[in-house]
Amino acid sequence: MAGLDDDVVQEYLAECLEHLNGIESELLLMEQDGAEVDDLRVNKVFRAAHSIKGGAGFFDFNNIRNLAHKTENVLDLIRSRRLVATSGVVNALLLAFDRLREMIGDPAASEHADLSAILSGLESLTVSSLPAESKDLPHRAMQIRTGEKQARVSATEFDFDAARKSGQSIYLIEYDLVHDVQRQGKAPLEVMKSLMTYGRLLDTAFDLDSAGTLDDEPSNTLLLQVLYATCVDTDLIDVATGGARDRIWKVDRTGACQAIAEEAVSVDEPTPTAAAQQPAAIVEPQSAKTAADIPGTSAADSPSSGNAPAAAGANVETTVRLHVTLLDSLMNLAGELVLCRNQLSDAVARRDQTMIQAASQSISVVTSDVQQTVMRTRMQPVGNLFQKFTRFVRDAARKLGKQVRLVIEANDVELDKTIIEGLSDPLSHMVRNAVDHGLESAEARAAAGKASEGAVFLRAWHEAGLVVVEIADDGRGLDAEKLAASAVKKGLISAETARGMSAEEKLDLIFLPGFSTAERVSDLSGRGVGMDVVKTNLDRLGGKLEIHSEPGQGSSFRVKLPLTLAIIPSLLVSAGEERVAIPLGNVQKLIRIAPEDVASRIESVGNARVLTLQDALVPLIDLSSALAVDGDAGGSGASQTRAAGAMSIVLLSGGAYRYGLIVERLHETMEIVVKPLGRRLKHLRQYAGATILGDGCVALILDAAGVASVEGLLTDNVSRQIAETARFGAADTHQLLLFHNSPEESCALPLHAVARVEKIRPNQVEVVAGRRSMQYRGRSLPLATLADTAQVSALPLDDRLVVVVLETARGTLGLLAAQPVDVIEADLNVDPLAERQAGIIGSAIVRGRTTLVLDSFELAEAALPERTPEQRKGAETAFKTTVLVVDDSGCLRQQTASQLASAGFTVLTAADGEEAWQTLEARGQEIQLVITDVDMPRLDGLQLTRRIRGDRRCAYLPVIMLTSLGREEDLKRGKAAGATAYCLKLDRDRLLDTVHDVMANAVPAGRRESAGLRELARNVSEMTGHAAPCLSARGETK
Amino acid sequence: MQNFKIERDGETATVFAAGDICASSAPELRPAMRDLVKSGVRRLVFDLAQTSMLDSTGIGLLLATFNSMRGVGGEFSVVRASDEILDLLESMRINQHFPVSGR
Repeated sequence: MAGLDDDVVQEYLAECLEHLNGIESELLLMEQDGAEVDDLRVNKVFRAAHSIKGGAGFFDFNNIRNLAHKTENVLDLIRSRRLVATSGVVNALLLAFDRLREMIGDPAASEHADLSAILSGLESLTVSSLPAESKDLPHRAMQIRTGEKQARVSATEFDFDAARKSGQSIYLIEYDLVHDVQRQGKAPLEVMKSLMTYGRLLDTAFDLDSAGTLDDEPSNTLLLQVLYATCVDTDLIDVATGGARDRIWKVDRTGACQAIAEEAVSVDEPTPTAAAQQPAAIVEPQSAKTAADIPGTSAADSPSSGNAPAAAGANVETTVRLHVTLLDSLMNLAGELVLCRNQLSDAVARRDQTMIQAASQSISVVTSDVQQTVMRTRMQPVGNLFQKFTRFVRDAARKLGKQVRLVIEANDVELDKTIIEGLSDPLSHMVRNAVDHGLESAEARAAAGKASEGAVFLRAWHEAGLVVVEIADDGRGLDAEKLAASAVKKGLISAETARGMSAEEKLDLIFLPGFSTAERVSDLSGRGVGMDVVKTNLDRLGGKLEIHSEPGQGSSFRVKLPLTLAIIPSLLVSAGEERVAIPLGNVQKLIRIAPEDVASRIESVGNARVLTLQDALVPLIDLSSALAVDGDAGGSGASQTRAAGAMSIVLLSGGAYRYGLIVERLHETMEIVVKPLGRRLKHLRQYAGATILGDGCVALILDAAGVASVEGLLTDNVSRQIAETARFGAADTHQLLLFHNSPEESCALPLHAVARVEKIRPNQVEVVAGRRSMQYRGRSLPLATLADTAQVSALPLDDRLVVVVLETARGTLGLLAAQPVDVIEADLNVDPLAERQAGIIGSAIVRGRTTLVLDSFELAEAALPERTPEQRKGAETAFKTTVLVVDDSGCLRQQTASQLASAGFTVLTAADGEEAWQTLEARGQEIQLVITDVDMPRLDGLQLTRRIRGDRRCAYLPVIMLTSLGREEDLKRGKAAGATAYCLKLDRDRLLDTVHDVMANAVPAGRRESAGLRELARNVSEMTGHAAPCLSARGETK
Repeated sequence: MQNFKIERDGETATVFAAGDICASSAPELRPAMRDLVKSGVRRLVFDLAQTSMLDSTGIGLLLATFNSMRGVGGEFSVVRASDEILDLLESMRINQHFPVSGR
């Protein structure tokens, strides 16, 4: 086989794909035409199959060749009007072309593909779909005679016809396997394979007598007759087949053979009219072997049919076809530019101000021409994209048993290539929804007095400088009241809110994350991607989505799109020295908050701030900290400093997010040219690209959705919850562990950092190589005192000694401290110390005493050396974290579970999202991390994640999603659903690292099991001798 | 060295041929097959699970064995052929004479 990377092979493959383009719509039109099939149309499809076959034979892609060949046979029957392109036939052809596309996409794997079902399906079509009386006609066997002798092989008239039509001749070759093969040092398989390369084996038969019996002496001959159709010419046939020239015959269409050795005058090729006549040579009709049924032709049992809905949105094209005139005009413009440059350099050399100005003017004219022309090269008709849905709608309708007509009206509307590509997925989703949910069943339609055939419309038109793409149906329409009721039921909005909503607002509810995920589990829809994701994707394209609905009459979704994404209007803002461009499409409002209003309109929840905006609470993100640039007021004191001045906030909104971006300064709006980020920066999701400003500086373009997800504003739900907590929760209440350093120094640590408190004896503390440690639960626990890092009194090692076991990102650390120990819930107002000290956040007044509030992270950083990943894996798991592993594959689930278990985690498992949810409901208090697969029955990983995010009991639970290699789509959808991190399936090393990273970065508060807290409280009260204060189960939210 | 093994159960015999069935191994196999037919075996199965290659002589041997079995009214079949051998036998339509199955 030629190397796959060979240019010639690549060219062939590219050509094949080109051939395959447009085949689908031709086939569907053939189906419409039925018996009145258009020859030109069939020919086009036939030629595609034929060229694919030709090349595949040449490059040894046998499976591709076989399938293309069988497909060609069926098409030939249609062309010769012997087979009507019924929907069954077209279906089989569609599947065959799908399969071809698949194999051409991965030619290396194509050789191992199992095509038996699809091949026999096609084969049986050539017989079963014929009208009864003519059924056996093409399969009538013709006898082949060499002189008076009858050959053992036979062929059907059909074979002869097919061969003739593809310009092949038929030869009868008699091999002597001993003489021609064995003694030539060849293997029989080699011979057969080379035969199949240059042509087609019609029949093969041994001369059994030549083999003799066991009683005879081993025979010196073993005769094998081969009936062979090939394009190879008579003069080369012996070379090509390895047969002896004197035992090769050319067979004419009557079955008569002429030895090629004596073929002086070529046998008359049968004329096309002869094909219609009954061949005289037919002696006895034999019904050829045919498959009894038609396996592989029904959409349901074909393996590729599962992918069918995706087909419409599948491959992104890497090449573009351009009209030559367009290239010519570009070429001309390039010439103009050269002239301008010459003019300019001349003018500069002469320092002629007038000439320089003239040159600059012509450059600006040429530039805008170039810009326009180049833009036109990227424009593609929307109709092409729409056409792909013909098949999609047909398949979906078949599957659902509905009658659906797709009406396409695109009238040469063109859009930028990037937009067309990005439009594919959201459109698929909406079209699928229209067919699945929008349209009623035929019966329901009849009952409503509508035509039983439903219609789905795909339209595109220009409107006010934008392109509008509409997906409409004449189905039942969206019921605003039902939507609202459902949203209330799912807890997405309150009943009160619902009452106050207008009908339009109610329709917009379907864009809420978590809305379209539940209960709909039909095969077509409801696989996790909700309308929220559609909306997010459209936002990326700068599209605005509007819903119109007329109950009973149908609904329509209109997407308003810019013509191009290459040049977009943007707002420039700055953070510190950095200027950043925000696409205007994402900007909803600019808000300036006067200094005196800051306090009343901005509230904080832990580190998060929210803005009160017309009774709604909007989460805020500080641009400087989001982009990690040094603003005027960077660092932790940001909020205080800002409080003094006015605040500029850019309100950004889009599919699943709405937040305010705090910026330092607002600049002008301008049209910017989008430059993609380089490969090394691609992973920065905060940015959509870069642009060059008028002064030559580079400004990064903000990806509003990216910032939201990076900053953890995953969904409206979460932000709403943050907001709610801000409003109703005691924002600054913390659970604290109180203890002493020296008797005079009272200290506090946030409880979530504390794993346990143990009373120890001073002699348990060991000093090895200057580091303190102790034996703790079978391990060596490193120990530290506050005096190690900060200027405090030394801790007296006496009988009041306790160790506070801290669980930190660095590892586990024991902080030595002194009794009394207590747990309290208190409002905390931390003041910074006059002098910053490592390990101490600041001081606060607790129970009337000045108390040092400690920072467990800094303590650990000072006391624990950086660990190798291996050590980390061991050490950090000294404290068990309970992980819920969700995977529908028992084997993978087991593997993940045992890996985690051996690393010290406590592992719970669930076989799908639904089971996982039940486990979370029952044992949610114990679970600190969920690791889930994406594709699962009942409730998939994305839905599970959304459900977790949507439930305030566990909205903060970290979720790691296991994805397969290269499924970028999964990553996107996962992020949108609210996954915390991803890990490739079976990447064992990364999994543990990811788990540790996630656990280290997770907001531990609140999620720390309250059972654990109770235990800790008991543990403290045992020590202190008095009852621990009541710990509420409510989690603290940060 | 014997490259094949025969399991016999009354009228049924299974031949396990290891390595190749080819010009070099046929002289050894051939008389063994003849003896089996002579001794009254009426169902002969060639198990090719361990067979990697089949050359023209090997094919000749299979056909001769088939012819002999047919002569005494017995059955002959080939089982567990590798994909390659299966391709070969099927492309030669040898399976229209006796059953051939793959692994």
